[in-house]
Amino acid sequence: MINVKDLHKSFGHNEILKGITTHVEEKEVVVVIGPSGSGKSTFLRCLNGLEKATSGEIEIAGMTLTDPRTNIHQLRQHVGMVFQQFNLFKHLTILENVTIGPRKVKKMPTEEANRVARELLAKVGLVGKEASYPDELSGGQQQRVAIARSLAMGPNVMLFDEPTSALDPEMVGEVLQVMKTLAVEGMTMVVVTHEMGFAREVGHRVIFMDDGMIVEEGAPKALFSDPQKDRTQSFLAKIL
Amino acid sequence: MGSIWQNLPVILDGLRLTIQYSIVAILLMVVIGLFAALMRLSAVAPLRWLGTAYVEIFRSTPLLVQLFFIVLGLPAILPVNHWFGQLTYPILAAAFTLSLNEGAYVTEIIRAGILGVDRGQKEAAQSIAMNGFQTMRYIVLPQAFKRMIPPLVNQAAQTIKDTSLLAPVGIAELVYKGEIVIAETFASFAIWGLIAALYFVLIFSLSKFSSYLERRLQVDKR
Repeated sequence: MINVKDLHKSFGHNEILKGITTHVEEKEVVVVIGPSGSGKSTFLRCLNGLEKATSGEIEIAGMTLTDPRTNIHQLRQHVGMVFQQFNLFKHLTILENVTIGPRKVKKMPTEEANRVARELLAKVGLVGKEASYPDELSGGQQQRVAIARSLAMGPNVMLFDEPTSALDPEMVGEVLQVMKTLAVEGMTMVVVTHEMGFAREVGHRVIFMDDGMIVEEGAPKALFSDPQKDRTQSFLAKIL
Repeated sequence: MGSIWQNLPVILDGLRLTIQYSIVAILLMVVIGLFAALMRLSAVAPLRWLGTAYVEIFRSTPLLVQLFFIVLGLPAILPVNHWFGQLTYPILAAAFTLSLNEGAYVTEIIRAGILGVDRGQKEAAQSIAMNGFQTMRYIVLPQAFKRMIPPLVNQAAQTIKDTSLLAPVGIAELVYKGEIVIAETFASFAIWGLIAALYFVLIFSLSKFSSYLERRLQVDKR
């Protein structure tokens, strides 16, 4: 589903990604962990073209992102993204937040878009909030709307960029629960997170990144209980 | 010598013209400002330069000089009077020059409004596959517009006052008509006072309308 070959990304002279090579299978849930500044968010943002790769190759949902002939908008219809700060459209109601993509990008009739949106809002546990505005919702509720908004485009892959980092502790669980449901249903997911419980329980594979490189990757159980590299050990020792 | 009261219709006719020029210029300045702002924010360098050159040229020269240059100067080297008509050209040229001048300031208002929208909003729009136009049209501009209302109303008030500069280039409006009436009645104090009061009423109503608009948008959260 995702194939990344020797991905480099620099901002000016500052090299953030120093050659990432990895592969994500269909229906696989990959959790990316690592200290802040390790490049994990940049890596994720490269996967839907929010950041342009400096060099290397990214294949995702059957398209080559790094090929200049690829229609990036076409590609993004297949790659959903959930942000740390939710980024709901502040001027639109919850229902409109979820329907605007299908209506404007996929030219779906409003009635059908509304029907799909209501189903998705029910799925993330937000029935009755359709007419509210984002700032009337709690952080956890907003993030669940953001997930519904992404799902409304019918993506093949979902990218999560620290989806629970901006939440109050008591709201983390409700968002992780929605993500877990998605994973069980077979969604291909790449999740940047500090939630080690989620990584252990839901992740099929964990990637540990540091200093723009993949230091170590493997099954959660193996990586958490028996890390091979010193840097992985010292990182895990600090957070577990 | 006619009295002030007999000449009141002349003044009111001037007021009507001033309102007409104001409406045209305010509508045009927003359209021009929007396009120039999008040019200034464009990824295409020549468009950016063109937008910047426009703003700098019109902001760095006096409106009165621009009006003289285009309304009276241009016909000296181009047969514009022949193309547009002896009577029509000055009116068109003056209205357009005024709109271009105000549009330069509006460009900066709209540009600042667009840049003021949180970057995450644009990224979220991109992540649901919106293209540049859709992102601007459905996500960024509606949010930018709300914060642009106060400075835009301010600029509209300025535009109404600036229509008075059409008089020196021979365009009939409130000040021009006032001068005619004064020439006839010698009632300088009363007429200028009346004219000032009329401008005040126009602009004060505009600012009242603006506060009403802001309050409504606040309640709607849009």
